[in-house]
Amino acid sequence: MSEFDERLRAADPAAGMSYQHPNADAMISRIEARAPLARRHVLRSFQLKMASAVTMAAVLTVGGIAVLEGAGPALQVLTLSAAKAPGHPSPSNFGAQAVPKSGMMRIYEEFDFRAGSSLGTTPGTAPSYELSLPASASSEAARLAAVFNVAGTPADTNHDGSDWTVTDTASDTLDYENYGGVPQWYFNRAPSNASSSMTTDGTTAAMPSNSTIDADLQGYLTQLGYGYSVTNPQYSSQTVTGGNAPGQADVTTNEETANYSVTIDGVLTDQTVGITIDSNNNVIEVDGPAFSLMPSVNYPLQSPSAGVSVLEAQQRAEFPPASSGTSDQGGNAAPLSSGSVSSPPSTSPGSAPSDTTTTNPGDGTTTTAPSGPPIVDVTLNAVSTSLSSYTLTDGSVWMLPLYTYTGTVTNSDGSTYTGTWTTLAVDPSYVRLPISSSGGINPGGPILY
Amino acid sequence: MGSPQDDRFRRLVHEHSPAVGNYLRRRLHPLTVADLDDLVEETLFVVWRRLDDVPSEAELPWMIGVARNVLRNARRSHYRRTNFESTLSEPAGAPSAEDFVIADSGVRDALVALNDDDREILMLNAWDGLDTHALGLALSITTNAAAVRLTRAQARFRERFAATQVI
Repeated sequence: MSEFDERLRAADPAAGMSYQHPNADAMISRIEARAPLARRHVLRSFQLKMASAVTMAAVLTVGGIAVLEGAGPALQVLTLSAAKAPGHPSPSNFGAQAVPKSGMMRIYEEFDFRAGSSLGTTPGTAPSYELSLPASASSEAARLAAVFNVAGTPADTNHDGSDWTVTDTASDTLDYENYGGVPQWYFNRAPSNASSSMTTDGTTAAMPSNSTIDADLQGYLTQLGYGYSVTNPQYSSQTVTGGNAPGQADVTTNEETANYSVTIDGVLTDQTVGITIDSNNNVIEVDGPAFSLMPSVNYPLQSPSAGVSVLEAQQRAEFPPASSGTSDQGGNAAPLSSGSVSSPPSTSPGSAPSDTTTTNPGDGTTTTAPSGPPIVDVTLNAVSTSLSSYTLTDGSVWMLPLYTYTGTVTNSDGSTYTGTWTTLAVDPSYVRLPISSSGGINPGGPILY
Repeated sequence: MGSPQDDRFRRLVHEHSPAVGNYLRRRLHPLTVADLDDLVEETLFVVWRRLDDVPSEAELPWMIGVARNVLRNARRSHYRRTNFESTLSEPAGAPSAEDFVIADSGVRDALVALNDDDREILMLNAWDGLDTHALGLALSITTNAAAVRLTRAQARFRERFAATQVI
């Protein structure tokens, strides 16, 4: 372990502390009383709903091939793996929505999605692409290393055959990693080899133009030969100054970074490429995905308006409304006692957080506690289509069309904020979602700002 | 003796709540330690609701992923609340994250010079002990992407750290 790593680990502000909840058993009782376990059959029923048109496809399906009416081409039903692709909600994202309890800060919200009038109602078609991935990770690492002039032999970094590193005598490194999904590569020039980026007068050096950094990257992409394009560069400059002891000059490192989105046939994808150079146009870092494309396949899409229904259905599946008399709304720190009656909370869209009123039949007294998450109205008024990577159960990786909706969330207090939500655009007839004990479903789900 | 679900949940709480609590404690700002127990409880509430989805081979990273979202939402609520109530002041006597400052100024300066993504993955690895597979789970990215991001963040940290040490 290097000095850097040791110092970083030693700097842990929680080192030596071990969090202990003051009363874990009481907390467990509260949690279990607040809500029952999420019912898996609800999730599965959603998956069946999501694949509702799959019912039709199933009639037409032989061995996983659906045939469109009208003598269209045979299309593979895309059976998504539970493995997560970059940028997609994972099980942990489900933590973004839950039910608050009485007396605590309100952390969660439940969304009621509606399709704005501007969203299209006509289904279309769009290309999907199976990715061609390097056959040998070590060979690809060696090929990439040659492109970046890193002389050395690929080493199996984690001894699992998936992460290969080439390091030369100057400590420049090339990493290639393939743990499933879209493989990624990364080149890093050792700081000592980029020392020309440092000045000792504390000033910011003049940096190469944006067109220069663009040309640097294009040169590498041509040599790499994957065949994808990049667009939407986001440029940023960094100036890092340190070493300010009295009487001694600062050392300033000047860098410029450009991050690009990878496009396929002009459509944005979830993949990115980045490059960082110093003031003398020495390349310090470059990274990106390692894939080329197989011929595209046109899949029918659900309409943008229909996709909103999928978002809504997904939320219902994640947090189904509780039936009257259960504690699933979670408003009380203590469970509803037997003999009490509970008035079901209002769940009207856009309403303020509702209360649960509990009447004790013995003395007629009532107690009121805030209940359920705030339900907020979201009208989705804009949608864009991009491509996102998914791994199928057969191990193949595809770029599939994705709808990204933008909408304004109106809180009960009248304040607003903007959010985006995504869902797979491919007609559900052609998609089979994973049923996994650990993965849940992955298309859709909120991205919260 | 409870149901298998009860038993599993109790085990998760007792085995992993210290690590989840430490994860949250390191990142509380602008919340305070007074919020820590609530955040832990909210995290565990989500775990309970989604108990069937907690992968047995990666319980802690999954729970840290939940805690990350809980913290993000709590911060968002905090900022919205403070925007709405512009006169809100910090509760007296409640230590903030600044009370847990990093004593090593070289490390602190290098971390400050990193972007948020680099800083987060570096801290998850060095302080929370997550390897690349666990990082992928916690950050909702592939192991590939996690490995690349970690390597990149480590390189940048070393570079920044070296720059702050050069006199």
